[in-house]
Amino acid sequence: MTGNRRIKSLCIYALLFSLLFTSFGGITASAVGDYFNGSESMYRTSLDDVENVLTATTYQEYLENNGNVGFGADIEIDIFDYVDIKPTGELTEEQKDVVWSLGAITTVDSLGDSNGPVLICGDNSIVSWKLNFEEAARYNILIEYYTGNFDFGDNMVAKSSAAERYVLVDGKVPYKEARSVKFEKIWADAYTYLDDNGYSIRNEDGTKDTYLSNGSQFLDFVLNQENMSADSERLFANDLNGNELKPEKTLVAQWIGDYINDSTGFYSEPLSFYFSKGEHTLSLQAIREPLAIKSVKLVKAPSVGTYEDYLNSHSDANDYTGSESFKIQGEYSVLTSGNTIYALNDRSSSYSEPQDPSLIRLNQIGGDKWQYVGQWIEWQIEVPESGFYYIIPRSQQNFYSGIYVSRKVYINGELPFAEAGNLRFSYSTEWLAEPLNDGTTNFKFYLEAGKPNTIRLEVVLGDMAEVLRSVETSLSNLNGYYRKILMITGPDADEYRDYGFDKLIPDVLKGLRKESERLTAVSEELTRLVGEKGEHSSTLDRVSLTCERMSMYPSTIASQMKTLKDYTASLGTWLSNTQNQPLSIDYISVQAVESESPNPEPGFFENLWYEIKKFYMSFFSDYNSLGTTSEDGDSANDVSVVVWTASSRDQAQILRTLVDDNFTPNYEGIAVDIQLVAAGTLLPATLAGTGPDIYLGGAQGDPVNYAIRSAILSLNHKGGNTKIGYDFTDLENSVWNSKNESGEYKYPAFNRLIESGTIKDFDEVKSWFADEALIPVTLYGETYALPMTMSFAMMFYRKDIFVELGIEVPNTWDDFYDIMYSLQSNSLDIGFPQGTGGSMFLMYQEDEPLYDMGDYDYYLDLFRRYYYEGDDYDNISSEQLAEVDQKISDAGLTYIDEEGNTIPKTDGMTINLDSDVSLAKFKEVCQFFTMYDFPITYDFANRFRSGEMPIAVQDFTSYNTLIIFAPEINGLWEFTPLPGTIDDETREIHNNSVGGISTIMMMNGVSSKEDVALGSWAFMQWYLNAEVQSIYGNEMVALLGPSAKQPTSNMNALANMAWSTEEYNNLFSQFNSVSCTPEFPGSYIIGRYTSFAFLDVVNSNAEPVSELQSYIPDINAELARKRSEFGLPTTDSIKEMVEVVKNKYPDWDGRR
Amino acid sequence: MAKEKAVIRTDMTHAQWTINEMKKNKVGYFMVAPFFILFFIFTVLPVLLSFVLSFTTFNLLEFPDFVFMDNYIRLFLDDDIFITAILNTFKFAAITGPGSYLLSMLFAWFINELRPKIRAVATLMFYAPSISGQVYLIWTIFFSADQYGFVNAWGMKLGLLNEPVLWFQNEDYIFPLIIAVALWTSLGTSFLTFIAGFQVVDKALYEAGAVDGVKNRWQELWYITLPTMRPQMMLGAILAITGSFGFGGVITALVGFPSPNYCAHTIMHHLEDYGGQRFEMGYASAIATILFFMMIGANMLVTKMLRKVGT
Repeated sequence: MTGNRRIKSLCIYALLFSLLFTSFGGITASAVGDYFNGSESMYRTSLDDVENVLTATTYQEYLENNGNVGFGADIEIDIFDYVDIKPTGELTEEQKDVVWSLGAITTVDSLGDSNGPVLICGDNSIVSWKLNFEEAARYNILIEYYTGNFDFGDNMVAKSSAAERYVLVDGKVPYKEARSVKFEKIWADAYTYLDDNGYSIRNEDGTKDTYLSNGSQFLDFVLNQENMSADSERLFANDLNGNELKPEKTLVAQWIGDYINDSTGFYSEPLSFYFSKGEHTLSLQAIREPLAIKSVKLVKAPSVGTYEDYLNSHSDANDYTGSESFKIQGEYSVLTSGNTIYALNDRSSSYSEPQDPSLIRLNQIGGDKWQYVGQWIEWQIEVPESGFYYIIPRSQQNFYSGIYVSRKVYINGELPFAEAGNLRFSYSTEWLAEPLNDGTTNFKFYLEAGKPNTIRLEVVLGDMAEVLRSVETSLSNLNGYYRKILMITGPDADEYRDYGFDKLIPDVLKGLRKESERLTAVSEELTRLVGEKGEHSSTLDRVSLTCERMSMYPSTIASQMKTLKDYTASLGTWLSNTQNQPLSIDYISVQAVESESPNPEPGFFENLWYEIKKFYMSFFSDYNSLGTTSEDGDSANDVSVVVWTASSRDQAQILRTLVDDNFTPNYEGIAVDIQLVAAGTLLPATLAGTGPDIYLGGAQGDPVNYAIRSAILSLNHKGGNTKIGYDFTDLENSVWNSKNESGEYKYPAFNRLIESGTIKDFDEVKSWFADEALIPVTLYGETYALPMTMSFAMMFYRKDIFVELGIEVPNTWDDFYDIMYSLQSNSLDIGFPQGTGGSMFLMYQEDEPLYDMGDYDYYLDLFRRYYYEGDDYDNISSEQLAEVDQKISDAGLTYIDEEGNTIPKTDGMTINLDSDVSLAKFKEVCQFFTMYDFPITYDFANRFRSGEMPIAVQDFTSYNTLIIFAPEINGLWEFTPLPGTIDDETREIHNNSVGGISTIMMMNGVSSKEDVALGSWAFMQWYLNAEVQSIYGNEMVALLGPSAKQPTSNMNALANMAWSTEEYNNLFSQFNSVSCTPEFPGSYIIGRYTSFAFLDVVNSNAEPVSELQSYIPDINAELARKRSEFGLPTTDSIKEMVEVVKNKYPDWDGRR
Repeated sequence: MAKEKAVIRTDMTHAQWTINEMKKNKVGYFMVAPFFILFFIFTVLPVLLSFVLSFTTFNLLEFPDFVFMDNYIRLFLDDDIFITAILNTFKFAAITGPGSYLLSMLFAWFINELRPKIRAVATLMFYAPSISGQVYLIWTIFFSADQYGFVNAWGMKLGLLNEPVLWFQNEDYIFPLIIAVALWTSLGTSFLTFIAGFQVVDKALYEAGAVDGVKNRWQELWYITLPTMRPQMMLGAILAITGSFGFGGVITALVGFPSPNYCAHTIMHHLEDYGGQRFEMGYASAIATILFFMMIGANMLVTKMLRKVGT
């Protein structure tokens, strides 16, 4: 062992040496991870792997390159005969060429109604099959997969979100579109049984029985025509105010076969893969979620005939002639492709069915929840006789003016004819009712009698697909050209200089011309499609013109760089907007071709009357009360907990529903009243004594700020003083579980909850969070709040640019400096937090705290000597010592920690920013901005997207912005733990990031009501447990879209969110090394003065160290002032004590 | 004329007499009551309360402690930032108060000379910035610290700047910039009252003035126009004073809180700092009291000066 270690340390020194004197860049950087003791928190994607999946080839080009290869005979792959899992250890030369399988793969005998064995591929797996082709052939891939959830151990737990895979042929992604292949899940609504008032019927234990929207009970109701008029009986449960509540979504577990499709929707046909003669491997590499597959077939997808063929094939059928129309309400969907598609309320039109002037009626479905390619909604309808019908949805697309949205219709699971894949819905501010059409022809559909016909509408790009495809190609090319030019000119191009672009980058000039031509063609095509020239085509024209000018007159390139940048950004926005295809549907009417379409909008007077009613009703309805399904104060024993939240209405509504569904049934005897308040109301309300019992969403500094003014309560207070707090650490033996004189439990309801373990102890709750997350809410042993959300900085980088420049992701700050030179020599920017925001990472990585902490023995000794009245301290008896300690504690100078030690309250008396390390780190960060010219202010999302800032240290929640804002770079970037500092002794890399939290506080209003206190605690721990946080997070995503991922502080809940495996690994390796700064009285002053110091440095070139030092006395003075206000020891009071003690004990080691 | 001596009534006390008079004029009291009650509760009472609180320490959440003059002593003797804030406030008020006042006056005078239709358009143009709420925020876009911010981008393009300047974060530029913004937004209500004031001047006075020997437009302005519109000028002056003392919100929106090195820290900011951030309401009340008296002082000064107009 020792020998091994010696070799290791030798290597390290050799490496350090090389780091010091060379800048090998990538080579050294990748080696570091291998040689240093692997820190758990280091996680890095190897860029070699990234290269395999980064391909610039588009599917179009792929098809063109292989155009003459025809479809081969069908092949069914024996999925269980996959290539062995890659052996660990050194691979032989031969083995290196093999494409292996990897990760968690297993075979199970059956799953669901599979009737046979099933292959489970974990969320970290690559599963590869060897295939032999006798001749070159082209194939579509048909995969049978399971849509339900399953749990087969590590990495094989399905979590309700769509699975995503790379498709690799011979270990490489053949074209861009194969980089993200999605396997969607299927969702149904779970309706509850209703009583006469429309309330959900609850069982005795508080649960609700449900029936599914794809079950016979629902279909019986919906297919019954009488129920489909505007004022028929409703299936939705009501809240107390009579508003309808949307049913919950349930995953439908079944096996479905689906072709591998382009998830961006640019290609409507299933994707093809070419295989030359000979042996090939086909692999599925996991991006997110495990996948259960039953079969994989290489086949040719059946082609669909034209509308004419369709009519001919049903030539014996006639048009339906009856006058009746058959209606299905949009909100009564049977299945949807995602849990984010649900019934909504439309108040705009009185003709929306059903409508109410004051109450919420869920009368439509879709809208902006149903806008991403591939999302579908399915309804069922019955007709009296077989024949041709018009399908007429009452629909509205009022989101994007001047452009239409597209849908594809499946009748009974099949696309009836090619044109039906391209239905148009025009823009209109009013509701429309037109037969399904493609802009020129109204189509009639053959429906059969005697069975329910399913109608499925799926979001597609339709005719726009080609336009968008071209624009996307253009955009990524233009971004590439922009970067190439940028690498020559730098960010501030000098327009008076001749850079000689035509000699340096002739290909870029050629490319620009090509893009210009392409965009002009696209713009013409768009004009043709939409039928008019409008803002859409003009966006394209502008970019086209700029490119043309740049390619024609290379000398103007420098002066047009900014224009190009702005235009490409607007092109990107245009692209992501136009890909969205929102459409609302009120109902679908199936009727005879001859009969008239239903009237979609009321006339003027009808509308006026509706508006008048709405206005009148607005005086009577309380729009602010959050609906609830349970009546407050059912029984006299109930404690009622008032919860305030300053979040948005949507969030409060989700919370309300969660409480009704999950809290109320489980926590009998505790009623929760949720109130939505304006931010900033808490302080005045607390002052006036009308505050809540619990406040959700306090800022990081709030708990300590409120606590020192006794406005909130400690959660682990031992002293029994309820003015300070309660002790929730040991509920079994607490007052809430005690018996009164007559031997009965004081609170029988609480007793049940505590005995059954429903209410968790403080210590258990604490373990749900990162240890550090409790530091900001803890002051001198008392924890005053719980963390609700927690976010921290991570490093975002662009994989494609790193590969292009041949640099590795930095592991340490030394690596960071290395790549800094490569990036800056290519005129690319680096984003870094300014001032102490940046230097704090570096400090915490060196284990250097923000405040002066510790030295407890010294202070304790001082306090004891000071308070000891005798004069022979050295021979003090233990009784006397206890007496002295009591005195000290009464003076508020010490506290008892969890282990029972007496600790002086001296932490945070002074700031530690004047230590050598802190000053050095501050200087280092300042130099990033002064010497290395990092930009101080920048729009991260835009610069990251254009690639001019390929690496930035940002809060990880920027992830949310990027996935929505910059879809064109999806898969080309990643967030990863920060670079670290190498510990000189252990050789470990410390890559701490600094986290920020938001908090939940228990207000002092409950200080005299111990029953409410436990009720409040029950709510706090309930709200923060993993299950509830997961539901809450998923609901947020469902309601507000993928950009609303909640950075919850509960580790398990965060893990349960729909992260890809890679994202998850990155996030959690950083999560494991997050540090949080403690909060002390007066801490607000630090940010202020350090930012002054930083600004002085960058604005007037002041010397960082002396500048920061000049503010230290001010900071310390403010800290001392605040501390003395609250009777805490300060530097001054310590000084006085030292004087006194020194007089008494001249030989006492008065170090300070 | 000899001063009339007040009649001292012997049949009733002063209080009785007051009540008597009030009864007689009860309709008047009744009509003023709605406004007065609101005014008293939401304006007078808070001012009085804050005066009382200024003699206490009050952390907003616990009951105040009486400390007598401690707050004031600390304010004047032990608070450097307060002195900075006073200086900044005076500097700011001294430039923007009269500045905006004169600007309003001048523009109103010029615009008054225009033809009615053009006048309406011009009025709207000048008045627009002050009605459209937070429109001053466009200055943050113009002077964005990003290298792609308008001023930075143009400055660098024209070779005036070498690197992006943090306009609203740099002590050298903050003060001039916020004064510019303040003047830009200042053509508000007072500007409109001036225009109204110019319109109500009786044309006959000018003729009379011409007959009496007014030689030029300046004399006309000074001896006829301005004295006639003294009430409007008084209103404008009060608005200018309160505006310039209470500009803190805009400064915070532009440069953040607190401003770098307190270079644009006004009394309003100091108030906000102690009241909102440090929870020291007693101290903040002391600051508010001082601000209150400063405003009253400024007001008296202006009233005095306005009396001199036209003499």
